[in-house]
Amino acid sequence: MISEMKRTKLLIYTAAVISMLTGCQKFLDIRPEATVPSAGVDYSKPENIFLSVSASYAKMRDFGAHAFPYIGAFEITSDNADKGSTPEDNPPMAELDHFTYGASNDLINNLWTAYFDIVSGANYAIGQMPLFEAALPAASDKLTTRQCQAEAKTIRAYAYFNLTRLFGRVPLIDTLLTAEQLASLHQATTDDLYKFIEQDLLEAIPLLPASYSPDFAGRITRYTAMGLKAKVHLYRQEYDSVASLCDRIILSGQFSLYPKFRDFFSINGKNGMESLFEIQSSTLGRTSGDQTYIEYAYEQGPRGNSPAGLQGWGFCTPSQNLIDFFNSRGEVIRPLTTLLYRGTVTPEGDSIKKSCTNPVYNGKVYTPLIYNKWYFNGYGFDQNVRILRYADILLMYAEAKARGAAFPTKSGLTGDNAVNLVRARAGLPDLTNTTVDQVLDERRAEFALEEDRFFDLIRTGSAVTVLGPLGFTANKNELFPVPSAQLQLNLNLTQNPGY
Amino acid sequence: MFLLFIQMQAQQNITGKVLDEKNAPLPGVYVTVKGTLRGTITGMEGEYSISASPADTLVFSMVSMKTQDIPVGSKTVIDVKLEVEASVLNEVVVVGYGSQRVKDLTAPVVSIKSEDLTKQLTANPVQALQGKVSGIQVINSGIPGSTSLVKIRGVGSIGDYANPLYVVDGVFVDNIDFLSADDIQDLTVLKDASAAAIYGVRAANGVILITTRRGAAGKAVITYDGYFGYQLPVNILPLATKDQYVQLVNEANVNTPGYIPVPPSRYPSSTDWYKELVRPASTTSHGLDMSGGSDKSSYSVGGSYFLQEGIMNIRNSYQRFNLRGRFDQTVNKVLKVGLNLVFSQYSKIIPNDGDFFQAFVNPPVYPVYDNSNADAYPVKFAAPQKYGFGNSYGNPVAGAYYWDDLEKGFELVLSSYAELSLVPSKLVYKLSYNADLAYYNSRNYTPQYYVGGSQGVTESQLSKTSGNSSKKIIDNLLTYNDKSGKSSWTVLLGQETRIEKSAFLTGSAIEVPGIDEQSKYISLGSSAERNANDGASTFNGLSFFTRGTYNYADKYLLTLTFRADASSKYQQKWGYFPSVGLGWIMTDEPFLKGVNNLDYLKLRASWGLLGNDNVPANSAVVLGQTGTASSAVFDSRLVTGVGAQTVVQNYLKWEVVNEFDVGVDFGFFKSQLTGTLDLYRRLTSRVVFFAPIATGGGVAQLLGNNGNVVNQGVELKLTWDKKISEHLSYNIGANITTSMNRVTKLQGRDYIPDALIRGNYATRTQVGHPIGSFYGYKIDHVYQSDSEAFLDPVVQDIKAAGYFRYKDQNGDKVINDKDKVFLGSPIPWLIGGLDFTLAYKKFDFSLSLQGQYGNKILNAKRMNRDIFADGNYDKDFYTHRWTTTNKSNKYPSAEAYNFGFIQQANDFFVESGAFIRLQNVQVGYTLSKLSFVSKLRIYVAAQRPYTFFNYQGFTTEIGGTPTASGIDNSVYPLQSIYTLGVKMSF
Repeated sequence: MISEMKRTKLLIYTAAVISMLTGCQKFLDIRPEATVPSAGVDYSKPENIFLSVSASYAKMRDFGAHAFPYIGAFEITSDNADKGSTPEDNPPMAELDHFTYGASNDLINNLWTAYFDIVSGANYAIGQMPLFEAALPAASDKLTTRQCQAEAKTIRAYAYFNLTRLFGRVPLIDTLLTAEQLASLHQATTDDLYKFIEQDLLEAIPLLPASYSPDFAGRITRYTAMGLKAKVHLYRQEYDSVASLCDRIILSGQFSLYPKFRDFFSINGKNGMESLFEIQSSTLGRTSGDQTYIEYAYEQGPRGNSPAGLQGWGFCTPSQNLIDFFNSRGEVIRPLTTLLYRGTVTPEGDSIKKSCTNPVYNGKVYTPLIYNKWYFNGYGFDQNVRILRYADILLMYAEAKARGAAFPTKSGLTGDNAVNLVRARAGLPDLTNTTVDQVLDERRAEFALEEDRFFDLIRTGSAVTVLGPLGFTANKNELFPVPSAQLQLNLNLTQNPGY
Repeated sequence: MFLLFIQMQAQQNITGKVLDEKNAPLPGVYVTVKGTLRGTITGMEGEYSISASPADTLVFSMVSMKTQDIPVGSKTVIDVKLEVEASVLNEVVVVGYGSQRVKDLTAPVVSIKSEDLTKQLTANPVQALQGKVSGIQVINSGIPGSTSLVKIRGVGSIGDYANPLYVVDGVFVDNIDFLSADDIQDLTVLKDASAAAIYGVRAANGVILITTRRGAAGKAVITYDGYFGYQLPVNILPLATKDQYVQLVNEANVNTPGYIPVPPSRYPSSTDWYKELVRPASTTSHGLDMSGGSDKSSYSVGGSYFLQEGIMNIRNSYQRFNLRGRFDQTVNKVLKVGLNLVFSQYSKIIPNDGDFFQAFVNPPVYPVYDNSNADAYPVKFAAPQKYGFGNSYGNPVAGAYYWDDLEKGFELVLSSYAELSLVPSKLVYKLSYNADLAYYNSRNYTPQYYVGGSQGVTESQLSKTSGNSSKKIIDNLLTYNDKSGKSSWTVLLGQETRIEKSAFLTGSAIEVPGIDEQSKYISLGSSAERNANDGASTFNGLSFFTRGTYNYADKYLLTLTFRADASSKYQQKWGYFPSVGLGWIMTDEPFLKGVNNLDYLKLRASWGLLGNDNVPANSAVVLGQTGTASSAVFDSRLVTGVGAQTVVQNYLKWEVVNEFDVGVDFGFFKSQLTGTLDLYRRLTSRVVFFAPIATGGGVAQLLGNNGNVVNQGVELKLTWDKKISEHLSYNIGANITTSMNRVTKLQGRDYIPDALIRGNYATRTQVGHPIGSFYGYKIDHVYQSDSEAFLDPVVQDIKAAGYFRYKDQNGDKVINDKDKVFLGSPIPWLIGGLDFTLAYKKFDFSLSLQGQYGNKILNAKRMNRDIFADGNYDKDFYTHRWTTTNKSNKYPSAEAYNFGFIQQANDFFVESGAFIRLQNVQVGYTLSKLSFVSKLRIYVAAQRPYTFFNYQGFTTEIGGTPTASGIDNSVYPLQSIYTLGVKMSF
C-alpha cells in the first residue's frame, strides 16, 4: 500500500519536474515590456529614411556646439567682443576673453564633446542609409537615401571643420567603434582632417537638392555644402577653388542680400533669401516644455533688463575697439543693428533700460519682446544661429579675387562688384581695385559678433598683432588645448604646443 | 492519503512547572514533543500544558539554558529545573531556507533581536544596524522616509544595485522601508559565501533575512511600545555673514578690470539661508502587539504607527501605518500550515533637498521676503536679481515653498506555507507561496508663481505617476536530517520560481488650478498639453539549490551549498554558485581540555561564489535615442528623429563574487568574554558599472564588465558580559571592521576617470587603488608673494600671491595632468561601534558609539565658483583664507578661489570624512506587576545627540556610485532625536 503510494508520488514529482524543464526555456525567454517585436528600424519603409538624419540635425542644437562655449571660443576671444555680464561672472569665460585658459577649462571640453557628438550622430545616419537603399526597391527612394546621406556628410564635415579650427588635430572617426578603439585613437593631422572634410563635401554636393519645400526651410542644400567647402578652401588658402565655388553659388540666382541689413537678423529673416546655413531654434509656438531651442541669443541678451522676456545673461558685449572701428569707417547702418545700447528704444519699440548691467549688447541677436513668449526667460529662443550667409559668399569671392584667383568665373562678377554689393547695403561708397585688407576689414564690419572674426585673424596670421595686447600668445593660442578630460579618456591624445 | 501515516496514539495532557536553579519560575521556555512540530511555551509562572503520549519525549529549551529531554512515560505532571548554560551556542538562527544551531554554523552569521532594533529610534530597522554589526556600512540621509544605503563588506557592484538582498519571510525585496522595528522578530545578516550562496545570483552584495514576529503558545500577551520625540537639525555649517561676504567678494575682485568695490551698506539685510531652511520637528511612534497560542496553534497580530516630521522648514514628513498578522497551525502529526501578512501604508511629503545647495551659494545679503518686489506672486519673496545677482540664483526659501511633491503607497507581503512531516523528525517537505504586492502613487505640482530672474513658472504644472509591482515566489523545499553514531547530517533540496512584474502610468498637464488637493487633477488642466506615458518590466527566474551539512562528534562541521540560477535578463541564462564551509570546535579536543578559562573555540573557513543579476534588463541591446532631443526643427515644427550611439554596446556577463572567509569564535571566563574574529576576502570579477568612454561614440558612458575588485579585511566583535550581583550587571560590546578595497584588473584600459566637475575628472579607478579614488593635484604650498610666484621656475596656468602652488610630481617644471596624483578614497578603512549597557535593580542604562575613519569626501559644493562667482562662502573659508596678513599654506585667497585652475580636484577640496558619533543614550526604569500591567518600562533616550567630525558640511555620510561616491554637492542635514518612551505588556 505504502510502496504503491510512493510510486504514485514519485510519478507526480517526475511529471512535475519534466513539465517544468520543458516549460523552462519559454519561461526564461521573454521580451521586455513596452517594446515592439523587431527591435530597431524598419528599413522597408521610406518614411523612416529621414529619422537618423533628423537626429543628427538635432545634435547641432547642443549647448556646447552653438551656445555659451561657442560664443566664447569663436567671438569673445576676438577683438570684437568682451566677456560682458558682471566682471566676476563666469571665470571660465573670462579665461577665454583673456587667453588665460588651460586644458582644464570646462567650456573647451564642452566644445570638444559637443562637436564629436555631432560627428557620431552623422556617422550613425551615414551608416543607416545603405541599409535603406538595399531594402527599398523604388528608384526614387534610393535617391532619397543618397540625398539624406549627403546631408549627414555635410553635417559631419561642418563639425570636423570646427573641430579642426579649434584644436588643429583631433581623432578621425567615421564608423562604429568599440569603446577600446575609441580610447586608443590617435589624432589625425590637420592636413588629413581637411582632406576628409573636403571629401565629404565633394561627395555631398552633387547629391543634394538646390532647395526644399517651405516646410523644410533650413535643411541643408547643395549650396550649403558648396558654401562650406568654399570656406574650407579659404582656410586652406586654395583661392581658385574658393572663387569657383562662390561663383557657382552666385550664378545659381537662389540668393540675394536683404535690402535692409537689419532684416536678415530679424525673426522673419530666418532661413531667408540670404541664408545658406543656420542652426534651427524654435519654441514651436509653445511657452514651456522640452528644449527645442538654443539659448544662443538669450545668453547675449541685455542683462538686468525688464520685463523678463526682454533680458538675458549679457555675455559677448561689443568691445570699444569694435565701436571705434565702425566709427573710423563712418559706418551708420551696420552699427545700428550690431550694437544694442542701454538707455535706448529699439526701432521695434522695446526699451533697453538704463539699469542694464552693460552699456552695450550684441544687437544681431536682439529679438523683440512680442516673439519671446517662453516663460520668463525666452529671449530669442526662436532666433536661429546664423552660420553661413550670402554676404559671406560675396566676400569670400572678393577675397579670392583680391588674392589673385585665376579661375575663370562665369557669373561675370568682379571682386569689386562683390564687395560693393555688400557695401552698398551698408550705405558705404564703392571700392575699386579692392585690396585683401579692405576685404578683411569689410568682413569684420559685416560679420561682427557672428563668430567669424577670431578664426579670420588666425587664418590671416594677424592674430598676434591684433590680439597680442589682449593676452594672445603666439605659437600657443592659435589652437585651443586638448581638454584635460579628453587626455584622461584617451591616452594616445597629445597636447597642443604651449599647454 | 497522509492520514495513512498517522498512527493514532493515546494522547494525554501533561502539565508542569519550569523553574531555574534558584527555584524561580521560568517563563518563555519552549516545551516541545520531540520529533514533532508540537510545542508550547511556559507562562509567567513557568507553567505549561501540552498533550503527549507516553512514548513521547518532552524537550525543554530556552536561550542560555541547558536543554533537557524528559520521556513522558506514565507521568502527567512533569516539573523541570533548568540549569544555566554559559553559552548561546544552542541558540538557533535563521539561515537561508531554514535554520541552524549557532554551534553548527560554518559561516559568520549575525542575528539581531527585536529588542536591539526597537531600542534605536529610527524610522527604518536597517538604520538601527549602523555601528552594531561588523562588516556593514550604513549611509543614512536626514530626509524623512528615505532609503538607507547599506554596504556589506565593501564596494563591488554598481551603484543603485549595490544594496544587499532583503528576504522578508521568504520574499525577496529591495529594501525594508515598509517595516517597523516592532514588526520584526529577528534579523539575520549573512555575510560570507558559505551562508549567502544559497541565494546564488542575488547574493553578491550580502543577504539580510527578516523574520516577522510570531506567536508562542501560552496565554495572550499584549505589548505596547511607543515614544514621542523632538528632533533638532545638527551640524549646520556656519556660512559667511553679510559683512564677511561683501569683504570676500571685494577681495576676490581686487584685480578684476572694471570692478568697483561694493560697500556692505549697498545690501538691505543679512540672511543666513541655512537657518531659514531648518527647524526643530517632532516624531512619534506607537506599536501594539498581541500574541499567544496553544500547543497546536499560535498567532501574533500587531499594528504600528510612525510619524516623522522633516527638519526642513517646509511641509515635509513621513508617515507609516502597519498591520500584521501571523498564524501557525499544526493540523496533525504530519501537516503544519501557516500564513503571514504584513500590510504597510505610507505617505511622504518630499522636500526639495536641492535647495540646500541654493542656500549654500545664495549671497547672504538680501531678505527672504520683499514687499516691493512687484513681479513676485503669489508670495512676495525677494528676488536675488533685484540685488544684482544672476539668473543662476534663486531664493532658497521660495524654492522650498513652491515645491509640492507627494508620494503615497502601500505594500502587502504575504507568505504562506504547508509543511509535511513525511518521515517524523527526519524528512520534511515544505511548499511556500510568497508574494510582495506594492502600489504607489506620486504627484508633483508646481503652482504658477514668479520670484525673479528665471525662478518662476507661467503655467502651473502637474504630473502624476501610479505604479505597481508584484513579486511572486514559489518554493519547494525538502529537508532531511538524520544521525548515526557520532555523525549527524542534514540535506536541503530546493526549487524556486520567481516572477516579478512592475508597471507604471504617468500623466501630466499644465494650467491646473491647484488651489487645494481637490483641484490638483490632470483633468482640470489645459486639454492642449496633456501627456501620458507608461512602461512595464517583467522578470522570470528559475532556481535549483541544495545544502548539505555534516557534523561529526560535535567537533567537525561541514556545509556545502550549490545553487543553479536562470534569469530572463541575460543572454547567458544559467549561472552556477557553489560554496563550502568547514568548522572545527577545538575546545572538545583532548589537547584543549583543561585550558584555563577557555570555554569555547571554533575555527571556521568558507569559500563560495555569489552572483548579481541586479542589472538593467537587456543592457546588451542598443536602444534608439528618441524624443525631442533627437528630432530636428524645420519651419517651427518638430520632425521626428531617432538616433543611436556609434559605439559598440558591451555584452554583459554575470558579475561573480568569489569570497573566502576564515574565522574563529571564542568564549573565555565562563563565556563572560565572547567574540568572533573573521578575515575575509571578496573578489568581485567582471564588476558591472557605468564607466565614461572616450568621446566620439555618441554616449558619454557605457555599462560594462569593467574589471575586478577585491575587498578584504578583518571583522572583530567582542562582548564582555558581567553579572556582579543579583542587582547589578553590565555588558560591553565592541565591533570593528577594517576594509581594504583594491582594483585588481581593468578591462581593456589603464584607468577609468569619473565624476566630471567643471571639465575635470575628480576620481580615478585604477589597478592597485581603491575603486573611485579621488584624483587631482597635491598642494605644495600657497604662494606667499607675487615675487615668490614670479621667481618660481615651475610653470602653471596661473601664479600669484594667494594661489596654490601645486606639487610638480614629475619634476618637469610644468604643472599639468601628469602631476595629478591619488588623493584618497571615499571608502572608510575602519568602521566601528561600541555598546555599553548597565542594569541596576530596576534601572537600565545604555550607550552606543559608532564611527568611521580613513574615508575622504570631495567638498564639491565649494567647487562651483565658475557659475556662482559672487556666491556665498562658508565661514571656515572666511576665517582661514589666505590674505596678506593671514598667510595660510592650506587655503587660497578669495581671488584665487574663483579661478578654474584652483577650483578642481586637489587636496584642499578633498577632506577627511572620519567621524565619531554618540549614536544612542538611554535610561530606563522598569516596574512589574502593576495591577493589570505585568511589566512597564519608561525610558528617555537621545538618538544621535552628538557627532564629531572636521568636514565642512552637514554630514560625512555621502553615497554615490562606486566610481563617483563621497562627492558632496549639498545634502539634507541629519537630526538629533530626543525622546520619552514607554513599553508595557499586559
